[in-house]
Amino acid sequence: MISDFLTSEIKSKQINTEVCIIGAGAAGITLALEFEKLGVDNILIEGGGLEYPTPEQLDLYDAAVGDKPYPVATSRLRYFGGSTNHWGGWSRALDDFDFNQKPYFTEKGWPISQEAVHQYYPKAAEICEIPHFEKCHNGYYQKQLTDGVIDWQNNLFTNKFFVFSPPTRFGTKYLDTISHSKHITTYLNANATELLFNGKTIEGVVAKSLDGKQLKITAKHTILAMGGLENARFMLNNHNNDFKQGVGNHADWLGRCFMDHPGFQPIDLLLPKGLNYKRHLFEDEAVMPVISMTDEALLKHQLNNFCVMLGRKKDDETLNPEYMNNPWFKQTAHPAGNYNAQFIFEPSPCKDSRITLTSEKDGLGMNKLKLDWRFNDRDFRSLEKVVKLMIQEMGVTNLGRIKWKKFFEPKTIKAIGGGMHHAGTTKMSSHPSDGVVDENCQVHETEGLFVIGNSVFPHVGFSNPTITIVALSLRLANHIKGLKS
Amino acid sequence: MNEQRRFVLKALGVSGVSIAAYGGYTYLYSHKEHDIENWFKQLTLDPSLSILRDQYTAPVDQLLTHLNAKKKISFKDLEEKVLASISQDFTLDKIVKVDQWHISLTEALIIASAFDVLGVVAETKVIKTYDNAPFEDFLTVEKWGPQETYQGIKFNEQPDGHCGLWVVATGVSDALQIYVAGKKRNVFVNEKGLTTGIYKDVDSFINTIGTSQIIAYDEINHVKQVIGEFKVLPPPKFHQYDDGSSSKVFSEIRKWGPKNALVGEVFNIQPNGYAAFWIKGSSRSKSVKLRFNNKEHTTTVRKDMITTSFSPLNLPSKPGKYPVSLVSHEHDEELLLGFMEVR
Repeated sequence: MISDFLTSEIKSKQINTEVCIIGAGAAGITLALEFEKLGVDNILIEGGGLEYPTPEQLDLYDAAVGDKPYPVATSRLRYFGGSTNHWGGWSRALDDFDFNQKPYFTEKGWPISQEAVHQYYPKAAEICEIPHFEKCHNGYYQKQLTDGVIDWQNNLFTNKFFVFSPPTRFGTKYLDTISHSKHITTYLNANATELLFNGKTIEGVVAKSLDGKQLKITAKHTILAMGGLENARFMLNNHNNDFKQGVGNHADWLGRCFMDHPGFQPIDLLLPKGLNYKRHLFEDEAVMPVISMTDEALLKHQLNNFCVMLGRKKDDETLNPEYMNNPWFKQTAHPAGNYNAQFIFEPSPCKDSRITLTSEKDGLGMNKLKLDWRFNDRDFRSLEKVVKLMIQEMGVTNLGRIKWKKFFEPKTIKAIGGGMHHAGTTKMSSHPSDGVVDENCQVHETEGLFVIGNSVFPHVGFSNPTITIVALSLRLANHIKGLKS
Repeated sequence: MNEQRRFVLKALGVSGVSIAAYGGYTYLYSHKEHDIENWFKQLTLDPSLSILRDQYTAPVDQLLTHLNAKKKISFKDLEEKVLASISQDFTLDKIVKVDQWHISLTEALIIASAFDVLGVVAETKVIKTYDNAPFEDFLTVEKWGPQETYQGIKFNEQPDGHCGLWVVATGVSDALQIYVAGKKRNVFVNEKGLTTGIYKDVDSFINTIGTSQIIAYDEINHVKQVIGEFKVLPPPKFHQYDDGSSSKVFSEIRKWGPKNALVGEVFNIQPNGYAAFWIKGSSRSKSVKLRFNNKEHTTTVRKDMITTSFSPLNLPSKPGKYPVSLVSHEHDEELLLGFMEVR
């Protein structure tokens, strides 16, 4: 059943359910669908409606930013399906490396093993409508997709692969299933404004519409699935005697370690022509090879994870393709071409990269957020090291040459854009002193309150997060089902 | 090779052996020892690299020392030494920067030596631009669109307000550029071809009656191709109200539908399960709403068609005659299309 707070009559003032899910994006819809299969009654509340938000709804995402510009409002979508409504479909599991502890990062990484998440990827791939997701990771593309990629003859660099969801617009794709479900009750235009506690045990949530309708939803388990910025904003807004600095902010981690995937184009290259490090069809499926490094090399050189996409560009004025006609390139594949390179690199968690609340209130009376996106200096040094290793590798093997044209300076750092992947603000940790949620996504020092989404990622790798969010949501649904039984 | 495109290092002096590009190189490539200076003649170096000449005194001597080679050497031995030396340089971080390119010390010494020995003859450089690119078919265009609009009416409007154009084609390279009405436009390459659009100058573009060429320019291969001509047609006739006044926003409405439905029926059902209305006509404003059952719905305005779809939650729950109208708050106008009979 789907009801709309703005157009339907809400007969009760209070309803009760097993699980209340706040936010109908990739995570919330996955959870609701999984609970439906598991026979768990749940209420899914969504702040938006079924269509693109109105200006009044969009205003709820209004935010301030720190020194670095960021499209806080436009990087999110407040309506059924959430950010999947503008998702590009890029999909890739996190690497094993991403789950490893990296002693050279100041903040701890995932407290769970790679296997704890990987077992849910096949089902997540089905939900995201990716037919052969496993080919990215089981070596298939490594072996089969050999045209147009570099045959790295070392243990340093390697090719990795993205695959693509159609992309699945969760709101559209699963609306019918949710409408006709047995165990899911959905409320649209229902904005969560207040968490209800008995001591430190969650009892439910208050949901309001922008025109003042209100409903109290009591539930044994409440899951925040509102997105990487909104999860933290909502929790910071919810404070009481037990949670003086906001729910989950017992150790001052809430809202901190905000991460996104930065993009940077530091180099151009001269390489054999015909390299195809871009999205293309291979065996009738969209695949995109990227240049990256082996897990061993990343750890050995103490690097952040990264990937590089190449694009052809017009001939360089100095080292143009004909330079590779010189005798020392005789054994290099010909003809040559000039390329640009888009690096996507993993940011390490930075405590000062954070969201805080401003004194300004939104239409629901909640404090708006301020995003201050920052980097650790090591992130830049890591990428510089990668470029140096690339210069060396391409030089030693005579594969090509590199033009290092852009460096990390205040102006270029300010101009760095992100992938709109809001991560880290409610990070997962095994110990309450190190994060906001535990290994099962339950908020530390609470009972029954869970957070799901990119915000729980303590380390982010370079992979786009949606499929991992879906995998983690499936894992959480199973965990809650286990608690119930 | 495009002769106009490159500077090639050329010998100023006349050597005892006549060398003509590759043929000469083959002749010289033997175990027989030659002066290293002859080897320089086959190199392909852009004159901009000649700045390296000034960075080294007696570069040939430095090169020979670096390679541990003699001036008279077989080219086979020389090239083996060069290869090993380049590899060694990169391993030991003996790197030289030229115009931000990172090359080995060996390469830098070779280049400096070559320019020192042979000098450089610069050919007139023709800067390649869109304007001087020749026309040549390099794309296979299957289809493209939209191909026309009425004056003042946005076509294929995107959420940020720009008007989008799409091209289904093969042969699209990374460096493809699109020019519409002589201006370079944003391009997004995808598996099927590309999308582009009219951004900042969208208002002047849609208000100028006439045709504009859409031209693809391949910056890498320096060729361009006409994809088609976009037409901005004179405006359609506007709706006349009963009092004789003319609408400022709505064109004549030729047809609309559906006009009948059953209670609970999702009429004109869309793939996402929504109900939908269609109206054959157009609007100057893209922000017109369709009012039905006391609710306003967002519309999509195309050149000759206005559509809207909405959730089944917004359908009437009782039989009756429900007015259907187009509303433009911008122009303070409401145009009653007619009534839907719900039985």
